[in-house]
Amino acid sequence: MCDADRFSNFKLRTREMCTAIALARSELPCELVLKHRLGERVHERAGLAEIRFQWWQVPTLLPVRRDGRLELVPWGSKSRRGPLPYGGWVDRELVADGLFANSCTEEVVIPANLGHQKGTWFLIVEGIKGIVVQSRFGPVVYILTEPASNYYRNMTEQSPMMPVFVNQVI
Amino acid sequence: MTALVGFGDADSFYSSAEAVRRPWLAGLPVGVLGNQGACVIARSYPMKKFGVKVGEPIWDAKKKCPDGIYVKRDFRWYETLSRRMLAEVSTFSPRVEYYSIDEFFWEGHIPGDHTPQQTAEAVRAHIQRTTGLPMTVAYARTRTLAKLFADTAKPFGAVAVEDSAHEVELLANIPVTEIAGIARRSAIKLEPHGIRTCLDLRNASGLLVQRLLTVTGHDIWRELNGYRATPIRTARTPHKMLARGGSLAGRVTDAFTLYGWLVRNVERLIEELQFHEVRPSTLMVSVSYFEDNSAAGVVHLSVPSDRFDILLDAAKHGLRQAWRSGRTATHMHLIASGLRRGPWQQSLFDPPDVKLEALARVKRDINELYGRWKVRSAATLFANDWYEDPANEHEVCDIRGKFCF
Repeated sequence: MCDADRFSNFKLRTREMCTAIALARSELPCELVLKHRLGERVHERAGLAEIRFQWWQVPTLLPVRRDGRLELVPWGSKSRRGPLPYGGWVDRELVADGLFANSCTEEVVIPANLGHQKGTWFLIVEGIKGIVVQSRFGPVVYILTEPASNYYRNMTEQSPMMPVFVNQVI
Repeated sequence: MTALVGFGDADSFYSSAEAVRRPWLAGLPVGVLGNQGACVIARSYPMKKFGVKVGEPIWDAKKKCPDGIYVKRDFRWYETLSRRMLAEVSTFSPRVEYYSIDEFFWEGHIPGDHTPQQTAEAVRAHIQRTTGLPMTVAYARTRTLAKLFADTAKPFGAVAVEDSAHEVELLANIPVTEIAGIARRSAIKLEPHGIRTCLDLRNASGLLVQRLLTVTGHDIWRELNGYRATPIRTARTPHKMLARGGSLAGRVTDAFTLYGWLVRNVERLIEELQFHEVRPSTLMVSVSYFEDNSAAGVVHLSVPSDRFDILLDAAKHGLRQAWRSGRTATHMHLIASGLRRGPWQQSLFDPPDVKLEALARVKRDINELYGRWKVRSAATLFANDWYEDPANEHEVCDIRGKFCF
């Protein structure tokens, strides 16, 4: 059974959610900014420089904290026929049910100051959880999701799923 | 030493409080969302500039301010900062009134080597240095004047108004509706008499004001004229009523869910009754409907009580009166009045129930020891989501000792 078939056995929610995160410019080391040409992703919010990582950007990247180091990892898969699940988000229940049972995975923290969904920028205290999957193209990160709380649904125009927050309840 | 009334009001308190623990938020457009995450309950000055108003739904606010940052409210943190401000203000005066979560009045004795203006600036600087919060400070002859003048100096202002000429100059530009206690309805009564500004009200006849706005309005009139009608209250006056309730976290159409909220509110009300050591003789249940007016049911207790079974029975009767079948409920409030203070005399209608009293005691002890709502009625299980969120454990009404919200 090929990977694409295997993933089709899971009811993957491919609906876009948390389509961007923002991190203060000062939190990213200069060498990382230069290496990945992040200058074009810098935005000013009322005078404060932040770097936005958005789902529509190419290359699609997310910052990830692994082994105490901050690195940028390709975010999800935009190919429906590839070896990885389509989208940038996976339900953590599906991961527990063995979505990536045949892959080498690692749970990571995606550091962020803000998240964005359906036009709402919301505060992120420490970060959100992600899972890095080793594929033949290298590591790929997905944002882990769970059913949204009533509060989060109201904030984000009834989004059914939300990211898994680190030490934060929304 | 000149005796003036001091008044301090933290600027955009909830959003400033968020910036205290996350300094990078300072200067950004921040909106603090209410209990349901649907409405903006406070916003920073940069967000105000976009026209976002208090009470505005988030879906409208984010259209006006697409770069706005929306934050979930945290009343436990706001209380911590509120009490820190209270303690710091108290270093300037022995008589401080905890008026609301972000407002304080105090007897403003001015040290001999300072002018009132210097003292106002010193208080403002001290509060910012010790709490990290921006506060507008005003000194004036009365509390009503101090509060009005603080509003003219916001944000982060410091103003002292001692002489009548300066008062006149400022009051002439303040509409009467800016006075706490004069709502739009009162303003309509004043309008035919040419009373539109605070100065008009000050210059009006006291007799006329009393006729139009009763004693409360007359007290405001006295305060505007520099006579103190309300003293600085260093302790909260005993409550005449206690209420618990609020939004139902959405629209409720089924009776079981509504009953669950009723039980939750009864348990919250009992906590409050027991804290203040009072028992109500009347209980009112008020329900607001989406497509209809509010409805209420009133139940008189034969004997004042704070027992769960007795209050729940009464509340059920109240809800039956307030229930509108087929309608969508959005808010519920339980209001306990006719509060009696102990010692309570037993009567024929109030037989002691040893088992129920022991049960109530165990429930209270466990919750005090292990946290609020660790033991609660099973009728509230429908709202596990609500109870699992630690932010819902502490609401603004749970901050005790202040006079208003």
